Amino acid sequence: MIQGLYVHIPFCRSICTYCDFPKTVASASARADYVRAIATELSASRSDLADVETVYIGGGTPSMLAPDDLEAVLLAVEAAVDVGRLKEYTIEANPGDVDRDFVRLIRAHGIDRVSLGVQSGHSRLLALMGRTHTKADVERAVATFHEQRFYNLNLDFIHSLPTETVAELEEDLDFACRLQPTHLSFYTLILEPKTILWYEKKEGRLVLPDEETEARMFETVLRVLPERGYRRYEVSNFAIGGFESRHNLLYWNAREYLGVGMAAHSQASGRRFHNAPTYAKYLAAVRSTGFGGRIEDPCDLLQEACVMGLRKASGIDRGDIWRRFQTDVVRRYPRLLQNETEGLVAIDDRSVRLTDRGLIVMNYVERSFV
Amino acid sequence: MLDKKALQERQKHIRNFSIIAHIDHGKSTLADRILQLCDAVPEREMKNQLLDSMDLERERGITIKLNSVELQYKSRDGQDYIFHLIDTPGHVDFTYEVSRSLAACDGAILVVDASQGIEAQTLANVYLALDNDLEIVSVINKIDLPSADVEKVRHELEDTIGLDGQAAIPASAKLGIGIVEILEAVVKNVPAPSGSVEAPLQCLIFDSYYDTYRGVVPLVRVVNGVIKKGDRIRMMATMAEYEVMETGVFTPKEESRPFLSAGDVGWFTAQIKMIETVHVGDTVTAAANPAAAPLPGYRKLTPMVYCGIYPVDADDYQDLKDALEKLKLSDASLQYEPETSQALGFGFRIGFLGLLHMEIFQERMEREFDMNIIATAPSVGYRVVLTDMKTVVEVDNPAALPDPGRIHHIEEPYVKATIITPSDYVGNIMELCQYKRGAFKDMQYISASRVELTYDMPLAEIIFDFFDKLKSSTKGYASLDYELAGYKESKLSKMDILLNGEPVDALAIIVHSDFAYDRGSRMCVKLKELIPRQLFEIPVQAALGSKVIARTNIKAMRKDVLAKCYGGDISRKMKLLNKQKEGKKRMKAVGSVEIPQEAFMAVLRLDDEN
Repeated sequence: MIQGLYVHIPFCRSICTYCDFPKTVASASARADYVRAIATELSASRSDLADVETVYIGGGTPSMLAPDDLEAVLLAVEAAVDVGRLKEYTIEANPGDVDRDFVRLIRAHGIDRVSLGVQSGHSRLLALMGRTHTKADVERAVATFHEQRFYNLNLDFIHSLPTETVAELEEDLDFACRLQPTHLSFYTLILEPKTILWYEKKEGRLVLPDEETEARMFETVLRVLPERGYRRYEVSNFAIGGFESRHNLLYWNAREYLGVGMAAHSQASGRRFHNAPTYAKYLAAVRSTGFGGRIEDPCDLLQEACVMGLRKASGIDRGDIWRRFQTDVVRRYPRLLQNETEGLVAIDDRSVRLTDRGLIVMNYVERSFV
Repeated sequence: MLDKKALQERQKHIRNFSIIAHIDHGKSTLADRILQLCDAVPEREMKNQLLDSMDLERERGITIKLNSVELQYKSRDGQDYIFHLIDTPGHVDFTYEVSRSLAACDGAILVVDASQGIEAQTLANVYLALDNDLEIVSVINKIDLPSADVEKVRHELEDTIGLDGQAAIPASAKLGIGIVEILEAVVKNVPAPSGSVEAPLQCLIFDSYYDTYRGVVPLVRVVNGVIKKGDRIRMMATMAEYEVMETGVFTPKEESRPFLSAGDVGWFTAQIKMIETVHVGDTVTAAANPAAAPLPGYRKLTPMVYCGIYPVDADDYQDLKDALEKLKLSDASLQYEPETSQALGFGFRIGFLGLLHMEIFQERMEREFDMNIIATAPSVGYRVVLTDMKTVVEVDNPAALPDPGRIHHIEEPYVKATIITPSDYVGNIMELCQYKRGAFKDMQYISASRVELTYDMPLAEIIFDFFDKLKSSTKGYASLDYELAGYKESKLSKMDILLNGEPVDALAIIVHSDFAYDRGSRMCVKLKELIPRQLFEIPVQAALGSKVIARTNIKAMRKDVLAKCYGGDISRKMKLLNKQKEGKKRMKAVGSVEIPQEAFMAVLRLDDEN
């Protein structure tokens, strides 16, 4: 049963130095063609989307679409799913793109949650990430939402950036909380291969914080946000009670979702697949089949459910795993007992979850699932 | 069918020969050409290195195993001939394979690269061929290369080996030039096999392999008599008797033949399930009418290097044992006995002909037998003279070295190393040999610009990274051959490696005292690089006896968590995780520390630039 729909908008005005998401800087007509392809794919997938509870429009930068193109995407979503029944409908936006018209447009089409790519409140760090907005843009954007009585906002931040200090991170945490979003994501920078930062590092032009500093920063986030009322429910995600992202929880609960658009990933009917990873191939696939390519990926659902479940503060739900896979996690992966004695996981009748000590070395604990 | 006259006539038209050469002089390409010319392979099935049937051989472009093939050749004299061509490996580690194939031949085609000239293994292989009284057909190959110098090579053949350089056939296996001339020379110069079809059966087993359905398949050269289906045969060394089920040859595909008679090279099956009853080098005879004596077998082989092989999962010990038995069938040079390690549990100590042989062994274990194994640091075999001066203990495992108080002195194996090089690099080589504790013996010019150097060197120094170093200090031009030349007393001691305060026996090495501090600290640094961080800090120490001579720490894992994981990240995440699993396959938990395979091989890479 497909519970979530993800729509990928792969366009950006400029490319961020840390980003490895599928994206492209395209002409206006190329964007319009893409939007039509999305509509085709959504319409072809309509019968699979009857039980959808969450929609997430991500990117790229969905907010950079021309209002007409954006509206075309939203109409296509409405044609494919019953928006009135949705429990959560999110769109990603760049702070610089937000104005009253944008808020009115998305609200008119049923969107009730916006994820803003803030990344930092420091101009030096924003410049280093290749972000084009300013701290003032962020404040303006949030104010615009609040004026329109649109409060369900997530703010994305990245820390452990080159040259960043713990003091700067603390300032960002304070900045974030003062904007009073319902949800916060604070990610440690991941140096993904082939990104601009990755090349700079490779060429020796970049000094990243050492592991100790990175650990201290992560621990700072883990300490400060709960003090300010944001409960951690996933490795990097925090929310006011009740505002956890339902869509993203589908990933961590290993539920089924369909991804539409270039390179979008899906998990449905026990299979995992992704769409054609480039603009031209995606459009060609939609033209010839109505779908975006649907390239099959290998998957081991039980293993994935465990690895993803462990990301949640509530841990792996043993009962859920038992119902779905007729196996007990601890019996299936006995090394977890060793992890328990190492003080890395806490095991009780209902769940297996990471301790504070385990959270920070989660990749080590995950080895118990292979 | 078995008309004696006809068989004798047929025998006169058989030619059994090998191709011998230094590595990369074009042996396998020439074999391909000969097969093509004799129409052994349909055009559509033609691929390069036909006789290198193992994937490993094709991938690496080397011949590891000998391979035989029967060919039909119509000579210019109007008569039909039966050729048995036996391909041989060129790498120094596999000299033993060469010597075995030569014993099944009456002649050898010696291939020399027209631009490289004679190399160290050219010499080694020619001497082997001459030891076996083989008729030699010299071929100067790769004459199409711009740097080819045929005349120079003719002189080298005359001056260095004493062959008739003018008789050497210029050829290009790549372009198919000179191939007919080579085959005509084989017809003319290589004698027909001696032996009699009427004498009692004598077949020399020169190789074998295991087939799940048919049991052991011995590869034989029939020296006397006839072997056919239904014959009751006896293995002369093990006295085991079997009934022959099938006989045949390789063309290069396996092909059934009604019989094999004196002079033939082929295979037979006899439902042999007891692997240990078949010995390469043994003689097969008829049970009813046995030969008076076996054929001279092969010289017993001395392994050059030893290492311990252990299953990653202790439960796989029996599987490892079975795999070893089967592998030994097709790798007669393999020698092994059980051993126990405190760190690794039950395994085997295995003797190899060299590091390449060891590497190939490991790959074959994994590919052909799906075994998941850990190999310990390699070592040569030492002779330890105890303080009573009477007892000499052979030690091929550093962990088994007796208590220092009981040792009077230790002797290590030395080799006579022959290096052939362009004279420009003599200085570099001398420097290298000195660093490797070599003693200069001799220097001879084999032509105006090429030199043959002879050194006495500790085997341990040559086995490890000498060859790579030699190649890099001579731009790849120098070639090396070596043979064991006895034992010499050396200042040697055991260096223990301690992880987390505990000595790990499988990491112990024997070092020369003058190099102990240097090796010890390099070893610690290397291990720090190779052992993944764990949840706690791990001290790495090198010690001589109770004295720690080097130390470093593998820092504890502080933070290792993926910040972001959504729908699009899962596949990649799982791939990464499962790749770690592959890596983990070759990790062994010693106490609480997981040690990867590479760490046990660290001793081979101490001189790498970090």
